[in-house]
Amino acid sequence: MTFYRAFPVFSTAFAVFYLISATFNYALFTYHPLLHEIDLLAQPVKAGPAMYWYGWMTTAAIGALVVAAVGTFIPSRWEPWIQRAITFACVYAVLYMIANAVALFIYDRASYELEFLKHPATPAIAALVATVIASFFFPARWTQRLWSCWTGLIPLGVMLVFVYLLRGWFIPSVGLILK
Amino acid sequence: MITTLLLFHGLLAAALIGAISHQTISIWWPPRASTGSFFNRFRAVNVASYTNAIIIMFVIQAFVGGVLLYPFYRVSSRVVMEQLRLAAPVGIFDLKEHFSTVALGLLPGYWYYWRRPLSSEHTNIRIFLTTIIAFTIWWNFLVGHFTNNIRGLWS
Repeated sequence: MTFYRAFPVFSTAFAVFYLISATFNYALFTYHPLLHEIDLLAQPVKAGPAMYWYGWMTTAAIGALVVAAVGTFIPSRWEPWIQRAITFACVYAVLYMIANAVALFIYDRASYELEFLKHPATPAIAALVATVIASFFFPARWTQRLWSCWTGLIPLGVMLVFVYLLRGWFIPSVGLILK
Repeated sequence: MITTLLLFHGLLAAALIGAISHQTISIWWPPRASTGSFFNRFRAVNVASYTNAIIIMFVIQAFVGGVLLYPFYRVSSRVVMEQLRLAAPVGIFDLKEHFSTVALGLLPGYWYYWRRPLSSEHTNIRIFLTTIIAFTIWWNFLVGHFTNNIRGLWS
């Protein structure tokens, strides 16, 4: 891998790390704008709001820099395996979300208690099985073709996840408009 | 001070919108033989030369908007919007924040694929990344204006 290949790797990894740090509040520092104070790591509100956004960005940037730096040392002969692993992980993530949604849908509508559907292992195992089966039918040339597209697909996926995570702000308004 | 920064932020946003729109239209619908129409002239630009300008303007915008203006929004405008229960405007502004960050992280990849000489095998990813960044810039522009003018919109 050349030095320049680290650039798209950074972009892809940054989106993933940003999603993780914003979702789980892994802020490297917290800024309190009213007090003009900066505290290390995610801290609770003091006076006025606490801003974690800068901390999330810093966490994501550090994580992405590490991944991009590691990426530059990976020999080219490993590339096909990395391509497959990334494809596998992305397909797994999508199938996990689908399996989770289906499991909760069935659970809500079932006339008797299907407690196992609420267990996190159920969609995880279902998605894993489905991904393994899908990987047998996924030609190697497709993973090669997708290789550079991950730089766009993963950040786009992250943006869609943010829309989903912030849906609580919009659903009441959409309901009002539809009324 | 805030008004001056907001004006600068708005003016730079207009320049950024222009640059990214030229690049996006041109890469989606490459110019054919010159017909002299407005649309043909709009897309008949040297798209690769816009890349560095877009990156620089985006980074300056992120700094002005994110570092200099955002804390003021967070302690004043957002609090008022929450008190007025304007949930959707707060939500779309939160999306602006997240979209901007993802697009900011995307800039190294965008630069890499727009490096000259342009490789023909990366045409699709160039279109893809440029479209994501264009969408983000347009979203930020519209949401920014919407939030800035929200008092007038709801009066």
